[in-house]
Amino acid sequence: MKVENINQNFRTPYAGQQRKSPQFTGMSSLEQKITELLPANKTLSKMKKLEWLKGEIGGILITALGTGLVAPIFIGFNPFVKAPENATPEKKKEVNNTKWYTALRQPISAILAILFQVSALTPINKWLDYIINTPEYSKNFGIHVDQSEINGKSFVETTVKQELKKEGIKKPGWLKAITKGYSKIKEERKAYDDLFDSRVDEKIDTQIEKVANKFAENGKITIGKRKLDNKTLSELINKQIDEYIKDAQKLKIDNEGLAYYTEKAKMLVGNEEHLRNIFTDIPHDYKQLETYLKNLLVKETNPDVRRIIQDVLDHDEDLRESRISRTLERIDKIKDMCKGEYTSNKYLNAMSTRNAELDRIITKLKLNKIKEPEKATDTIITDSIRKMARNCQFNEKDNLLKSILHDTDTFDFDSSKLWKKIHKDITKGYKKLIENKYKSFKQITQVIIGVCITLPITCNALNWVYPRFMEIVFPGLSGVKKSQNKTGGDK
Amino acid sequence: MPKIKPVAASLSSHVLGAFQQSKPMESLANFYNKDLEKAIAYVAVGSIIAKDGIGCYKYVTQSLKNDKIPEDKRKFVAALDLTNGVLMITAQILMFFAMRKYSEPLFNRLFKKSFNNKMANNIATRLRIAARKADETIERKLNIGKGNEQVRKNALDLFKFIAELSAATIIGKRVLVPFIATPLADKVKQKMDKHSSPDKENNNVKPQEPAVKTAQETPDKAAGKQLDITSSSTNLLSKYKNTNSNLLNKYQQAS
Repeated sequence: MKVENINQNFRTPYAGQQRKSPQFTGMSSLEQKITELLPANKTLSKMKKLEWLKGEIGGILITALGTGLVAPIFIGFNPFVKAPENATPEKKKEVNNTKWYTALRQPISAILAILFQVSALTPINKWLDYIINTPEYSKNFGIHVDQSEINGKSFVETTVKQELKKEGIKKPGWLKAITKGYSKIKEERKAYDDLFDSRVDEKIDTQIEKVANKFAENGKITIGKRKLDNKTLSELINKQIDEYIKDAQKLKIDNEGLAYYTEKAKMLVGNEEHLRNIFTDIPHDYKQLETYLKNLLVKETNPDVRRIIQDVLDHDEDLRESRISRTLERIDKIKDMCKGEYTSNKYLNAMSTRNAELDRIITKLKLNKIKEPEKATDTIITDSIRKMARNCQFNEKDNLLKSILHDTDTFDFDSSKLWKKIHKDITKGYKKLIENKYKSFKQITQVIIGVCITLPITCNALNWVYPRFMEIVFPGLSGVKKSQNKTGGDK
Repeated sequence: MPKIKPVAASLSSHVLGAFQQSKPMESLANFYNKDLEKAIAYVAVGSIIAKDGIGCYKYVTQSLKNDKIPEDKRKFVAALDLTNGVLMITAQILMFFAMRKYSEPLFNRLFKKSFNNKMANNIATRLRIAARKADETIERKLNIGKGNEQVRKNALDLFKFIAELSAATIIGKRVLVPFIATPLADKVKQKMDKHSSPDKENNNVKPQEPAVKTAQETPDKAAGKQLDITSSSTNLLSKYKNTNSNLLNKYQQAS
């Protein structure tokens, strides 16, 4: 997918309503943009919509798929179940009928499983979501699953749907395609989805921010009247420190990278003048740029410059112009790192210095971790967060650190921004914790209900429906049994 | 209804709240928090196996109590059911873990064009170009990288869940088990035929009622089939009963 396609998202019918705050950029909206740019975007978007399958309902549906579609084939055509070779044609038919009589039990059992088990679990899920997200009832659960202040995604989705309905915004139905046309409706539906997702992200973000602000003020994650225990909070802090350490590690250049960048720098700086000549005034049209680059490649005799041009050509056409400007920017950056005149050693040293700076930050962050979370006091926690903020901060005038850390917002020169960010990140960690723990409670509840209630009901229903269904729909298969029964021993 | 809802919510939240805060649930919740994908998959497959296990237990106990089966054969028939249940559970566990080993490499192979370093860099560039054009804040490179990882993880988790459960419940239970169980049932039947000398003279007797129908038409005896929803097709007793030289029917005929 090209850049043009992403831009479409900003020109949808509800575009004006998408973001109340221009500062807001939710992670899932970023994920959505990324998904749209991937080659397998259609499959991945569909997979995203199927995420609700992960859990008990998914297990039931997959099992039902096997029972309903696969099992009948393997029972009906099972080569091991057959009449003896010397059997009469009637006997052979009878064996065949018996196989199919048994095989057809499977789709009925699958339909009933979906009907009883899935339809029972759906309202149960909604009910659990309702009580865990409503402060009045969620207080009866542990604070580790209480979603009253930071609602679960499915609950927020229900709320947003209701809000949009109140505002008179509804998802256009496919039936309207008859009058408005398929592509128009498709566009409107996508616009609705974008608006909906954006509102959901925004709502969740606002809730997180609210809890995070309280946390920054009083040093505790507070849900209703309850405060999160120090042990859990310390563990969340340690986890967050690990995340920041990972971020710093990602910015480091490994040995392989050092060798690669040194060679590349030599190639770029060595041909700086020539590259600036050929790359300064380039066509902006994709096709024209391609022709221009191909012509350059034919004429070019310098093997290094040929490699650079080939590298640009190897990129998709919408990225080539950006690639060219980044190549020229890189030359400036290399010279900057060498403080003027480039030499291979100077550049290598500059990269090593960057790594050493990052190592220093990593070591300091490691020391911030709370060693014994179970013994952590309020002071230890506040102290750890304060140190975290200090270690993630750098001097605005420090060009070296600025150039190292500009690719991430984990590190910043603005202390108040960092203070807020750290509290928000820890609160996000808390959100993840309550989501995961709530999922455990929800899935186990579903399993218990499934095994103890819905499964026996489904089985009884099957024993009632199956013979009746077969007699009505497949009297031929059932008839065989009946006639046998008249002569047989089951009385 | 409006008055019932708060009462029901209050009552259920008290009961479920106590359950959620119990020690076993707390440890389970920690397992979920440690590795969510693994926990969901394990509990889902555990639930399927538990249902099959209960089904197997029902079959075995019903076979032992079934007065249609001669007393000296009941243990043998129950053993058949037990073998089938164990076979089914084992096949599902094995297939689940086998697929668990290969699901991620399989995913990487299927989505290698979407998730690689070059694509990650291209995405970052495209997002920057789009943000510049739309006059939006340009996302930091590391955040784009995290977003990319999250997209991959979400897709991988779902893929693994579906692949692992499909391998267990479709391939293991519905494809492999019938092929193993049927020849196994025949072997056991042959052994049983040899074992049951009083029947030898009745070997050519025409079979009568296939087991499925027998169970359907005698609801009081059909209790053993109640959990058939999970395993009816591979029930060895059914297979054993469904064959033409059905011993049970021979016994019924003889009596």
